[in-house]
Amino acid sequence: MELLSSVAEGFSALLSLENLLILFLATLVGLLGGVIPGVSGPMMVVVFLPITYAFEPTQAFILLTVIYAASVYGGMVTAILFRAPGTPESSMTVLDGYAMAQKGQAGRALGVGILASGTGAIIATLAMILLTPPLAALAMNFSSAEFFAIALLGLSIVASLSSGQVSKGIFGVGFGMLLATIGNDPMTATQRMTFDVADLGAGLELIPVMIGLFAIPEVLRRSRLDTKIKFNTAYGKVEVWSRRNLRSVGPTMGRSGVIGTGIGILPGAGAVTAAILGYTQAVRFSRDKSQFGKGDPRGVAGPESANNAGAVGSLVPLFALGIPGSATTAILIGAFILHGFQPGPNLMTTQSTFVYTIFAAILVANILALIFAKPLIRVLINVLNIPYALLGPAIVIFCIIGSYSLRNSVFDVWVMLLFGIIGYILMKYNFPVGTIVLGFVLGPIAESSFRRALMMSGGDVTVFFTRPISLTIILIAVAILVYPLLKPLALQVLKPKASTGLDA
Amino acid sequence: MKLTLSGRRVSIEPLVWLGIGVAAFAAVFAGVPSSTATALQTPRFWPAAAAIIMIIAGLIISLSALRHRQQPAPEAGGQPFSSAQESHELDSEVLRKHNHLLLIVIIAGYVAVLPYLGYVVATLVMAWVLAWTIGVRKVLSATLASITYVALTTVIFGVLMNVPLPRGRGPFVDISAFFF
Repeated sequence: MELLSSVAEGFSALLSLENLLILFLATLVGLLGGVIPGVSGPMMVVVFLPITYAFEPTQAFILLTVIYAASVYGGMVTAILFRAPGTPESSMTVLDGYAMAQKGQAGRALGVGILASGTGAIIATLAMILLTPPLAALAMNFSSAEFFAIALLGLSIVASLSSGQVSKGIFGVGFGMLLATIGNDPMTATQRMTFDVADLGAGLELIPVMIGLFAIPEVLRRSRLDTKIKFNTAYGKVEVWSRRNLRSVGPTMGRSGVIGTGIGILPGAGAVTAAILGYTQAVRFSRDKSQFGKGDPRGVAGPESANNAGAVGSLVPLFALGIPGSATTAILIGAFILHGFQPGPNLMTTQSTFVYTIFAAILVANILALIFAKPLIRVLINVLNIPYALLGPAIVIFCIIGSYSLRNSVFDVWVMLLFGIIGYILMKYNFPVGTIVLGFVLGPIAESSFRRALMMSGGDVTVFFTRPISLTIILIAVAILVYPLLKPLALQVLKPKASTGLDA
Repeated sequence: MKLTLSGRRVSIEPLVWLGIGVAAFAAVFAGVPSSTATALQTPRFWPAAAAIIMIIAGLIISLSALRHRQQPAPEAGGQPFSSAQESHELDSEVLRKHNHLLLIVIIAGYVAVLPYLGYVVATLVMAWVLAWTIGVRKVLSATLASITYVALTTVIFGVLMNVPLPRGRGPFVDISAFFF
């Protein structure tokens, strides 16, 4: 009953002209961000974050979370039409989506993609509304030791953000944590690594660092390429709500939506993993597997439903525990802190209308995307043919003004440029830059909780291991972190034994 | 990043990560004063822990590179469209090899003159030069795009959001005052 009244409060708070306008624009912007290759979800959130400085917090987070959710939605368009996933989450959609396009069924593939994306996201949003409050209630009894353990759990998701380069990911987390310590020590106000530079006294701001790492490197990379390439934008009739679609992909998208939600909620899994599992489960549950990879609509519905569900599902640990499930949710945590909120269990109790308004906004945005994606596709695809030479300067200007307007400081613009150069170099070495943001955002939370817990226990370090919840979370974090490092070793050890067995 | 060593090409990239980790550790000791508090509660503990994480990760990267030096490169497998693969494919379309350096110089120059020329003039010039550098070859298109961007951002940030955008110095203050 309480849940229903909170949801109703959220919807009534959403129903103002301003909020609905922001929601509609955010849906459009997110879809656009997903469609344009090279303009990722994190980049759109980072670029639009400065605009929210002057917004009410509710409106700011309607804009940012809806952009995030809608960008995953839009990623499938170029995956299907041009074999170029607009977002990493859409990489599995390429397999059957592009094959369908090659067979002249691009319109149907887009229709199936729209239907599955919307269904998956709506399933996950409903799960988020149901599951976040009890999870947050459980976390309400946590002390500093548990919060340190949760921050550690958040940092352990580094493996999923590392695209297979776990060691570099761990390096990135360390680098992010180190950068976050520049400036005043939170407990003693001692200056750390400022080297007498007055502008470093208050530390490095997260926004210029994020803008530099996510947005500038892509502009630098694209500036070297041919910006006049025209896309072939013919795709035929888009078929969304047809009986044929509902019958052929209905069960797949329902199942993948549930799987994607579960994967998204798990810290460390993320929407990319959800898409892979969504695809493999679509294959596993099919009687006729022969058409997968050759243009089977279920091969589009499975990953699209799962990746959208995974993206929304990853917001559950963010709201309930304050830990991110992906690079974009790490950026969202930064945005929360910037607006004076600390995501986590306290937010659910002290700002419940605010949280439920965001939930309502995500639900409505997904319904809007489901309804309007078909007519919008033509507009979105035409945007692909705007030369990057015109988009690039606009992105750079937004990055500069976004960095400047945070503290009205030109120093922050220099910081953005420096991290843009660092980000470009790291991109060349396939470095997972999302891990730096993870360390930068969670490092200070982990440090404060760690030192506060030690102060309260009189310096006794066993406080983290004698409390059962803290110990359990720390063990889970260690397992998540160590598993990808030990897996290759374990495989190496087991391999010779297996072959010996076969030889015998 | 490769060096020729005794006639063989050796990648020094893995060592660079370790080097950065060691440099970070040195920076922590140089930049954070020591304290009399218990070790785990000193201001130096947390940044030192972060630097140690970097050193350990750098060591793992270096050791695994050393172990795989004699082995043939693994086949591209696993994820169907990895970022490395995508990046390689896109880089094959490179037209202007050093354009990124030019962009960095333009943006750095812009940030340097921003306090003197003010937001409107400096951004107008930078947007035009950037558009031209990235590939716009029509003067009118570049000019219209830069005017649109400056007008939009000045209205959104300078007028609606009251961000005190830099007004410049000398005669540029009057130019800026005309717009916001």
